[in-house]
Amino acid sequence: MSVAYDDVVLATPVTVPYEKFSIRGAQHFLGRALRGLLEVSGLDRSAVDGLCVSSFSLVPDSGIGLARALGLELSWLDTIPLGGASGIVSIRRAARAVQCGDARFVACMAGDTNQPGGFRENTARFSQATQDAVHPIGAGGPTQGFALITDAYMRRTSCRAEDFGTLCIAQRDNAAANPLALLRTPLSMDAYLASRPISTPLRMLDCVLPCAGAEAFLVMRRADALALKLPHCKLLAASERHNAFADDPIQSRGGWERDANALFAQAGRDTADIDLVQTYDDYPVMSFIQLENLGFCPTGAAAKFIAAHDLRASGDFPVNTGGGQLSVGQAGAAGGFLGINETIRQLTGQATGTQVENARTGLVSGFGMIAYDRGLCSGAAILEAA
Amino acid sequence: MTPQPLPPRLRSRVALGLTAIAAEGRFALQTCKSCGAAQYPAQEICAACLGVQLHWQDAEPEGVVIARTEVHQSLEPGFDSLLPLATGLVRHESGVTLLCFLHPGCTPDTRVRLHLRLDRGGAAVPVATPHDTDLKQEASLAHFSRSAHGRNVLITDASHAVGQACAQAIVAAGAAKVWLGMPDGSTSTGATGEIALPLNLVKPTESRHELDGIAPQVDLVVFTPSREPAADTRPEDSLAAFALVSEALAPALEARRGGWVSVLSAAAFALPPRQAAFAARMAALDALSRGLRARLLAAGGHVMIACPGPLDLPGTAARPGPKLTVDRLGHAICRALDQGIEDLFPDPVSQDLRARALAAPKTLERELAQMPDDYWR
Repeated sequence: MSVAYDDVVLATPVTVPYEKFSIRGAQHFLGRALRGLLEVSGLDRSAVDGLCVSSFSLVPDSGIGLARALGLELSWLDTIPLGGASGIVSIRRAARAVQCGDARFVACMAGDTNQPGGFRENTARFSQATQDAVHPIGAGGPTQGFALITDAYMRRTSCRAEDFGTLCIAQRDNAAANPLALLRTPLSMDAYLASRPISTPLRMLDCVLPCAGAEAFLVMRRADALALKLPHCKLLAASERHNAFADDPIQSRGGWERDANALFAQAGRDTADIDLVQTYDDYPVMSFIQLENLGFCPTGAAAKFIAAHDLRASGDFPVNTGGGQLSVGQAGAAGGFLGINETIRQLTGQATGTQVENARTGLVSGFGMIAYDRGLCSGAAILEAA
Repeated sequence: MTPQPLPPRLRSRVALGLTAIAAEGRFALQTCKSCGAAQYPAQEICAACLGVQLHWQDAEPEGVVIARTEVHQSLEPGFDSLLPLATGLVRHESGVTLLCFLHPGCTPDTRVRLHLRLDRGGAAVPVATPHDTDLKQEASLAHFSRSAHGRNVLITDASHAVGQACAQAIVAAGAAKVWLGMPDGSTSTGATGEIALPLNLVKPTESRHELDGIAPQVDLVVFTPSREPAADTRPEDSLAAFALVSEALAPALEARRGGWVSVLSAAAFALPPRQAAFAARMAALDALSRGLRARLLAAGGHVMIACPGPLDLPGTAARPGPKLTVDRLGHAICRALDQGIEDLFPDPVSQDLRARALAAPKTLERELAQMPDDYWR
């Protein structure tokens, strides 16, 4: 088992409010995220000695270009290009840097802009495999890839569209109370089923809304958080797994299946101890697979599981309590940070939407980088109230 | 007129290997020479054993559909007119999975036939059809065909056996209108739909006038240069003829997403040293055809280069070795248009020469130097 994270904590969740489109660049959103971290923490910019950044639209810059632009002198710098897994991976990187003394205050940030046509360009060259062998076959974008995964899942498990609808509706209910969510109008099953097909069996309402925005938090030692009087939560465990089950003919599971036992063992917790879950919900089928792979229900039984539970923030199994990406929006790489910030807020009593009562322990997962026919990166973390 | 956008054309260098396969109408997968593992999408190095020697090896064009989706919304306007578009993952027996365009009859968990086709931008894409289904007859996949059916076709020189055979095959394939270029200026009309066109390409002014007259209607040009020995035909006449016709008609072909077929010879690439003048003429026409191809591909058009071996022409009865009849050549060209093929080697001799030229060009030079003088006539 990997070494315990001791007293590494996460604090100061910052969201740069999402906009559907923006004329600003990624630097703008990431810069505002840093400003938010400094305002909330009270730290001087010179105190931030570590930076971990994720962005698709920051190109041609990486973290160092951003550091220069934001006037940061750093003893530790990382750029994580792992899409929706970047948030979990940045926690792991930053936590070890703080634990080992390579940095004292690490700003973990992700943000992207969104311009009309930008999503197409990003998709066309997302990876060499995408450019060569996916985009030319109809250019359905990531939705086409996840439609294939969803099609196979539905035939394997007898899951129906209504089961995905149940999750989407619950998340929209959660979003209704969250002013940060772009989509807050309550959703009915009829409206869900009637939404237009994008790539069968996926509908419009199965797809996230690409947008501009940023998410950020600070990783530091518990003693520093206490000295700064910052609400914080402890990092109990975290895992990442890349290119798992490469021989599966089609993606039916992610790396979580490999790591779930070790993750809970490192945390010293069980699935029954988890008070709230933030799945990486780029498409409902991936949320289903995460619930299965992380051990909340048997393989193929997610539909039955969500039917038996109330997924709202006030329910018995709160999932994506701020509305998730499906209702809040997906600000590029920030999508993998959304669930982390939601978990920090819930565990520190700072929910922007409905506060989960007595929230002590939260699990958040990340998933990213669909290259050719599957998402390659998965990760998860268990956080606990201080 | 705003031209319709093309499908995405950008490919990595390794992926262009697939285009080379599709251009010949073959089905092959990039395969590791060390461990035999197939790779898809194309790689720089073997994913199974990290071997660096990957080659394209013909493979069984068969697989099983493991997932299917109908794309209703595309990020590329080049697909808009085709929506909804059936696509799916097909598992090949080698263990690779190909994202394919699907014939509507391809359902999950069924065995399908795999094809590599050139799309409207000239890049290779995999297509799957049910067994016993003619890809050409499925409307949703018709954009992969370059069939002469329903098109207006110019045969640049129908005075000799090759041009006549091409004309017959193209009429039989259902062309709407066929102009027969007549160097002697004759205007007598033949079978239904055939129109004689005075076209003596050695006379540029008169020919240009005739070509301009039909340009707005032409969809497909079949360029049939003289195959007479070099003594009777000056090489520069063939090149000037190509330039004349292509300059007159290329703008119309671009606008109409039309096509061009150059009926050349395997001598264009085999370069038989004892028929150097003929080879030079064919090689030059090959180069000009490729230039035109780059131009038409950028506009959604196409160029096929047919390189048959020796033909069964009048006066060649005494020539040794197998010969392709002009009738079979004409039908091979029409079949290749149906399949959207770019590079046609229609007979065993041209295929054999192609294999030798690819394997060892220097050896082929010496081999051909030993052939009889009149082999290529």
